[in-house]
Amino acid sequence: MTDAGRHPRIKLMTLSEVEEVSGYIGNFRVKVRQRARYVNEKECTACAKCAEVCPVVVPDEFQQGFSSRKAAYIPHPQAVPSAYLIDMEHCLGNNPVACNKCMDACEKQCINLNMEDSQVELNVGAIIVATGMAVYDPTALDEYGYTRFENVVTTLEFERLICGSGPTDGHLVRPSDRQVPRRIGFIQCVGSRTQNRGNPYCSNVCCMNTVKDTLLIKEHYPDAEIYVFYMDLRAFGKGFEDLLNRSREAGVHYIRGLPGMVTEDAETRNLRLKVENTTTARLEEYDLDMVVLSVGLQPAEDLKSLASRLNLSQTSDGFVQESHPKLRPVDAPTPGIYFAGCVESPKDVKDSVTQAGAAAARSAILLNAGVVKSEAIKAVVDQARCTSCGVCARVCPYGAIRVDVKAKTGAQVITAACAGCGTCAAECRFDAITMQHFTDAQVLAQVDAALEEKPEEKVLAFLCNWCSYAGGDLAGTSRLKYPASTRFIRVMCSGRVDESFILRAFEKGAPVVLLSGCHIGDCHYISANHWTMRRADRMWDRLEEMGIRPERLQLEWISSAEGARFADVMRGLEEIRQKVTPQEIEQGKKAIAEYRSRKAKDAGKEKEAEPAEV
Amino acid sequence: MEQKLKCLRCGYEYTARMEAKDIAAERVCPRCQSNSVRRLSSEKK
Ligand SMILES: [Zn+2]
Repeated sequence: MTDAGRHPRIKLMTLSEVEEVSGYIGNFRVKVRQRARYVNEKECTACAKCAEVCPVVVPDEFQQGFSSRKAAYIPHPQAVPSAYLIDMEHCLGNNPVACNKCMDACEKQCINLNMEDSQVELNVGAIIVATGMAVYDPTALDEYGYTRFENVVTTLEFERLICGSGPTDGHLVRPSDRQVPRRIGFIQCVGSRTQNRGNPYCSNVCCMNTVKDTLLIKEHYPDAEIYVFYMDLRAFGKGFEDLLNRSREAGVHYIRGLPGMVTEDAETRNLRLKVENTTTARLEEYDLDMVVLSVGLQPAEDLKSLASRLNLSQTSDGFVQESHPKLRPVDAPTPGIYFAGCVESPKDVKDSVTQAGAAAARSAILLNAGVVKSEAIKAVVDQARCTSCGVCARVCPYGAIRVDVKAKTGAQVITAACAGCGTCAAECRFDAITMQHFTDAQVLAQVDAALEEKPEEKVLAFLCNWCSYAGGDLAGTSRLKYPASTRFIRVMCSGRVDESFILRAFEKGAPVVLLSGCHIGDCHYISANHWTMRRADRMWDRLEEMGIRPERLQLEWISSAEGARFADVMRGLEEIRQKVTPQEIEQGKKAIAEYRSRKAKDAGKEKEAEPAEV
Repeated sequence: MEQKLKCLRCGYEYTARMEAKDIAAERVCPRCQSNSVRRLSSEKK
């Protein structure tokens, strides 16, 4: 951190918050609010005289409340810049000036209690998001007594207690009586891998953190009795199994089972744990001096608002969604934005450093090149047809389309920012947008070809390139059987599937049409499949109005890992197909023809109602 | 808001709590796990 602070080409902006991000890869404009420090950081020598005279004492957040700090303080020993700041929430100098002692004590006159927040605008080419993480608050798990028993602490609190720069100078004591605990228990997976209270995922680092803690304790207090209560121990990294074995050899007891209850002896403040040891199938009790809750990791508190400002999507667990889990694991779906560390998923220091290096390299490649190589699949606006209605700009997950609805200047695609999902083209009612390489004419030609012979025996499926189509590939390579009646049309995103493609399929006699894409939240194009879903809702209503059974249009989200589900869905579609009668197909064709002529009459223009002939 | 839903795969009809933000949430039929779950307006069957 000190190196970064000293680097001539790195500008560290502490106490700062990103308020607004606009622009696109290579040309981002970022508005940053820099909160007032009330101390001139360039002049401050961190002499600590302000803190010495400051009369305000508050709990020290960095030391997890085990010690106190002043209102004039440095957040933690290695903080960069090494300068004091004033906690204005607690400072007596705030309103009205009642103290002023720090200002009198500061020889260099660095303190200015009237300093105000400032807003800075930056032009940057790439953005790396590295917000870190938060830890699970175990208050809800009352059976562990975290809020009731002083000697039940979290791993983060324990970390401060054994740290050389911690409140006890690294001497391990328990909070209630400041005595060295001789019997210590660690409870694993607190708030992790649970469906009810906490998070469903594994937090990745807790097992090895506990193993490390047990070795640290054993190093200083070889006689300490240590018990680790766990569901599964996950020691999968380089050298990790070795570390776990060392801990076992040092005499640490690993007990498979999570305690159901922790109680306290009111007099001694000792703790008693009840646990079902699942390897012996016995209910066991342990008397301990101190219990450490190995709390899981979760996304940083303000990640949601930052994600919306940066146009990032989040997975169901709240971490940000990468562009591709295997091939582009540090890239955001929005070009020019990269991830490092726990913002993407819980990870340890080594993995965070690895990812940070990759993110830095990805940005450096971009900035050094000075130009962006864009995908060939892009939206192109036909200005003659565009009415500047603004729908395309509203549905674009990348903010890659600009329209001045009032001035009616026509939609403009920012080519560098367009990822090519095709949602704009599908949503444009005026057919004013062409998706290069996935034009209406090209897709409709595929529909026609697929249904050229015996259409009544076919099921036509529109599959997105990244998930459903890959799911189909997996079904194939897994040798899974599904009916031969299915015909697939690959599109980059399910968001590309225009209503006219579906109507054309029914018009050509397809009994059943499938619309399939990535699961909601997993879309390769941030949130483009949300529009697929809205369109399906709209289409079901429209089909019903036309007298076509909505059941003939099916919607399924299939991931690239769901080969078995893919085959299953195809079998289900075949069952539906067999129930669609020839009369129904014919009636449907007529209804669509009537719908088209009605629409053409209403709009007064043939072009809009009739999809381009090929 | 209570929302009437119908699975277009197995025909199962049910109601679920759906807020405005849930419109874009993944819908899964509780009976057959299909995603072909249609929102029914109150007057529709
Ligand atoms: Zn169903």
